[in-house]
Order: sequence, then C-alpha cells, then structure tokens
Amino acid sequence: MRRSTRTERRQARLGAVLLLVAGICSILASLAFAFLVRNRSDALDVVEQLRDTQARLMLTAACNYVQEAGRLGYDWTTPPATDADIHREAYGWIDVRDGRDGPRGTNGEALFSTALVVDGDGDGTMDRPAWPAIGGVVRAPMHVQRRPPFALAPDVAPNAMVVDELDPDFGRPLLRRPDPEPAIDDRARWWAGDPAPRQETVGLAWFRILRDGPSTFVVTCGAGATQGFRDWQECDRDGHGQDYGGDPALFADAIAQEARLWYRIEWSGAVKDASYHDIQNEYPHFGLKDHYALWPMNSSDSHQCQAHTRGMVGTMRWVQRLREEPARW
Amino acid sequence: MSCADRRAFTLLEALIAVGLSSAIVLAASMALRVAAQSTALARRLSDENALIRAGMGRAHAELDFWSMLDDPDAPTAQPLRAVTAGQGLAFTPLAAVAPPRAPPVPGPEDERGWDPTDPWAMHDPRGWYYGNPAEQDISDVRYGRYGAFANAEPAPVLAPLDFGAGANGYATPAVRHGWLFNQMRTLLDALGYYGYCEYMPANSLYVYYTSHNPSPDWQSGGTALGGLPLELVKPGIGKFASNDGHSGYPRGLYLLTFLASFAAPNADIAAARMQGVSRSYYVTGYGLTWDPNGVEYQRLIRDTETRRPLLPLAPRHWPRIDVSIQRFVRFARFTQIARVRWTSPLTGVAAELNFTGFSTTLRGARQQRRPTSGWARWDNDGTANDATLDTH
Repeated sequence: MRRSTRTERRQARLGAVLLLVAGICSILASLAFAFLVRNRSDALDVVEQLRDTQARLMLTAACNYVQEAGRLGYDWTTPPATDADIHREAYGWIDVRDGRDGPRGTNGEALFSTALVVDGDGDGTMDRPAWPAIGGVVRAPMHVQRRPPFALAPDVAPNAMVVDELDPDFGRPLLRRPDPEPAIDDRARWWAGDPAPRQETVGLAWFRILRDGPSTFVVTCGAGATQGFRDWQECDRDGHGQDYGGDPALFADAIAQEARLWYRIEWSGAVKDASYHDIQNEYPHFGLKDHYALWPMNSSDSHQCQAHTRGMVGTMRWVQRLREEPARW
Repeated sequence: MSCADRRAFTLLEALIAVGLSSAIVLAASMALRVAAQSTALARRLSDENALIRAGMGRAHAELDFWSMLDDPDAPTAQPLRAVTAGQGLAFTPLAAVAPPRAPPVPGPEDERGWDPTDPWAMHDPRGWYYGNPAEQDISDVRYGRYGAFANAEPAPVLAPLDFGAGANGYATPAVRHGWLFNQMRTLLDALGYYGYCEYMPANSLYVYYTSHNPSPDWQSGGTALGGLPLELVKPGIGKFASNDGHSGYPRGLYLLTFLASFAAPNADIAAARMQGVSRSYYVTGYGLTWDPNGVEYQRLIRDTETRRPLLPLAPRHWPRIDVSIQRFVRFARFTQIARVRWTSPLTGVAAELNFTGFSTTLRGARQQRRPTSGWARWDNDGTANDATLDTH
C-alpha cells in the first residue's frame, strides 16, 4: 500500500476544514433565511391589520360626511354670481322644521332629485336616483387634496400681540390681519382649491354610503385601491376603467387585497340638551329653590360653554356592524 | 528516517492542532448557539407579535359585536339579559320588560311600547320636553304643576298643596303629553342607565314626571313634590344624578356625566350585582380629585371592565394575552376602551396597548341579536329580516 504523501495529507486536512466551514455557513444561512422569511410573513400580517384599521377609520369619516351632507349644506363648485348664493344650508335628512325627507334648503326646496338616473346593476335601465335622495349612493375615495377649497393657513395667531416693550404697539390686541387667514390670497383659487391628490395618499382608503331610508344609511368602509367601486363592471361603466389600465384582472387584484367592512347607521337631528350647567347649581345652597339664573350658552366660563356640544350637524343614534355583505350598498 | 517517512505528529504539533481545533470548534459552537438563540428569540418575538395582532383583532371584533358581554351563540354567556323585578339589563329583550305596544289611538301621544323604526324626528311635538327644566328635587313647585300637562301616568296623582288658604291643589288632570315620558320610563326600566342614555336623543333631559309619591326614599318610588322621581333627580344618592354641588333639576347628558359615568357592567360580576352596577353612577374625571387613593376608579374598573384570555389553552412558553373591553359615557361621549395586555412567560413583565374605538353602539349590538339566541340576519335584498332584541 502506498503511503500518502505530506502534500496529500495537508490537502485532506484543508478539505476537512472546508467542509466544516461550509457546514457552519449553511447552517447560519438557513437560520438567517428562516428568520427573514418569518419577518416577511410578520410584515404581511401587519399590512393586513393596517388595512383593517384604515377601513375602520373610514367609519368616522363616513359619519362626519353624513352629518355634514344633511345639515351643514352644500357649496357650489364654481363661485356663484352673488355672495347670497354662496352656501345652501340644509335642515337635516329628516327636515327638523317639518319632518319631510331632506335635505332641503332654506325655503323648503329639495336639494335632491328622486329621478332614476343611475344604472346601478348594469342591466341597461336606470334603477336608482342620484345622491342624496333615498336610494342614492355616494362614493368617496379618501385621498388628500393638495389644497381643499377654502383652505385656511395653519397659523393659530395671525394677530399675535407684540411683546417687545420698546415697540409702540406693545401689548395692543391689533387685528390687522384676518383671523383665520386664507391659505392663499387669490380669492377664486381659494374657493376652487387644488383638488389634485397628494400621490402618497392615493389608493389607501375610501367609504361609500347608500341612503336606504330617510335617516338610515348603509356604510361601506374600505382600505385599498378600488376607490369604492363595487366591481369591475361598475368601475368601467362609471368611466374609471382606465384607472386600472382597462384591465379587469388588475381591478380584481385590488379587490383581493382590500379590506371591506359594512355598517348601518342612523342619523338624528338632535344636537345637545339645554342644561349644560346653564342653570346656576349653587343657588339652592342659599335657600333659592327653583330659579332661572342661567349661564349663557356661549359662556367661556370653565366647562359651561357650547364647546361641549357633540355636533351642530346632528348626531348618530346608533351604529351597527353588519356581519355579512348586504345585497345593496 | 526521513521526514517524508514520518507517520505521526510530534507532540508539539498535536498540542497545537488540538488547541486550534478546540478553539475553532468552540467558536463554531458559540456561533451556532448565538444564532440558535437569536432565532429562538426572533421566533418568540414573532409569536408575541402575532399574538398581539390577534389580540388587536379580537378587540376590534369586540368593538363590532359586543360578544364578551353577550354571546348570541352561547345561552350561558348572556348575563345581561336577566330581568329582576320588572327591570332589565343592557341585553334584555325589550318585549320582556316594556309595556305592550298600543296603537296610536286616539293620537300619537297615546302610543305605547317601543317602535324601533321611529326616528324620533325633531319636528315631532310628542318628542318635545314639556317639563320645567328649572324644577328641582327640593322644589316647592312655585312655577306651577308641570306634571299636570306631561306625565308618564295617564291620570297622575298630584301633590296636595297648601298655599296658605287651605287650597288643595288640582283635581286629577287628563294628561295631554304622555308619549315621551312613557318612552323614557320604558327605556330606563328595560336597559339600565347606560342604555337609557344611549337610546335617548342627544338633546334629552333625562327626568320625567310621574304621580307624586311622598316617600323620601327613591327605593320606595319617592318623588319630588312636582312628581320628579328622586332616583333620577336627587343628587348624590349614588343613583342617577351625581353630586356636583346641587343640580337637582332635570339634566342633560353632559351635565350628568361631566364628573361621573354610567357604564355597561362587567359580564363576570355576580348576577346579584348586575342591577346595581347598571343603575348607579361612577365618579370619574375631576370628581376623582376627592378620591386620592383611586378607590372609586378601581371600583369602576372592577365593575365595568370585562376581560378574557385570548387563548384559554396555550403553551406555557407563549406570552399570556388578555383582551378587555370597557364601555361608559362621560362628557356626553360614549366611549369604548379596548385593552390588549400581554405578559412575558420568562420575566413576568406585563405591557398593555389600549385604544378607543368607534364602532357598534349598544343599540346596534342589540339589533345584531335575535331575542332568544343566535345572530339576527339583516339584509336589504327584499326578504324579511330576523327579529332582534328591540323587536316589540
């Protein structure tokens, strides 16, 4: 038998070291790979939860919209000829004056039409009215505009008092500038705003509301890129197919990755009670029983003020999460 | 013998080789151990994160469906449906406690029972408050007998009054406005304070008129001279009207809850205490200034926070996750606080994530449930929907 040479034995030792190092490296690599895979999986789970949370936030937005759309009223998208027509105030989904279906304007005129003008199911016949009539649907993608109409400058104290004692205006509450201030000086552009969306906010969330009764609504809350379209047919019919490259599969992907939640809500014209600590509660201690000594409603004293009103545009009587997707939304 | 023929290491070579090999093996094993520990730690953190996410999901589901307080699928987990002496709790079916529905004959003011489809529209005169907002629990009724015009009783007994000339007040009146005060009494009896406040519109004054009862005790149905129930109007007796000085007149929700709260009960407290918790206020907010040891706050937590383990059966090396929910009204705001609490199995250290959520209200939750058991189906496909706890 031939004896191994020194070189051969050295090469054998080097081979053993190589095997050892390779083994250790592969173990470390597999551990690292498993770690990364798990992190990736966790991240995906977090994204799912983020979508759910984002969709839930839309419930608040939808309720605010219902409150404002029924009571606060409607502005024009184009400035009207006279300031008298700037804003059409409404009086609630059930008119607080006479109980008729709203929203109606100051003179009782309907700010809605019951004419069937929307083909909701795509069968070629018009089957529902436009929002805000009963049966109407509004869809609200919630991207952020670059500058909404009537935006205000984020300046909390445009007329801050001068604190330099040497200044002749020291300590004087001069009201030289409007408070609050418009975000821009051009009146027409201020009215119109800049509706272009901020790109980083596009495709994140939306809500959609079906008015299914005088004061009840089905609210769909979504987090994803479908803009609140129920399906591809509706999206395409509404002229938004090109938002998805005209590709139904892309829209289907957006639906698959989306969170959708359904709620039902009821609006009430009730706003606040009349007590709010208005009646002087300390008088009975002095032997004065019934009395009408009131704090004024706009008192700035302590907690006795209107600031505690829950909403001047009505309140939500109840909110109900629906366990299953309803037939119409 | 040449070097090439040498068949073994020298002692020095062997020692060095053994030393180096040991160092390499030791380093490798340490590296492996660190890597394994890191992986185990990462896995444990990942598991913990997954459990926390699951806890968040459970908390959100609870905000939506109120299952901890009333599980429609488990009749044994419905402690808030009980009725005691004609008084219900937050999930009691209205039909079990409310007076029978009566048609609006001869007029809307005579309608009785709960109509879940009634929007309580603001223009509707029967929903307006016809009481005297300034009349107090200690009133001598100097501004008149408002209970003669609006009352929960159709023919109320009014207190005899002596104005110094032997006059004995009024004859029993035929009350003109009875709908609102009957609705108030129905909801109060059916649901307890939290539900009563939630079902009433935001502009409500929460005290109605009934027949005069001279008893000084609210337990005996005592009323103020004008017929305001002491349970609702007398401050500081631990019932409905918190003690804010002396606001012994009909209050709205802000004034009732700016230093006190009404809450939905903890589903796990003893059945005998459910009515008491459902029908008393808890001092909160700046009212706790006079409670430096937090006794009242702890009572609120104990009586009103329902907590459940996320996984009743779980490996011991997993973190323990608890999810709790607490619902109360304060400053006229209905608040739902969800808490996800996790405890490390290694160190015992606990951490908590708590948040408020805007979702299903009590009335919404009641509309999700059938009167017996199970979830009520609701759809707008034109088919009939299930009866709910509010069907009456």
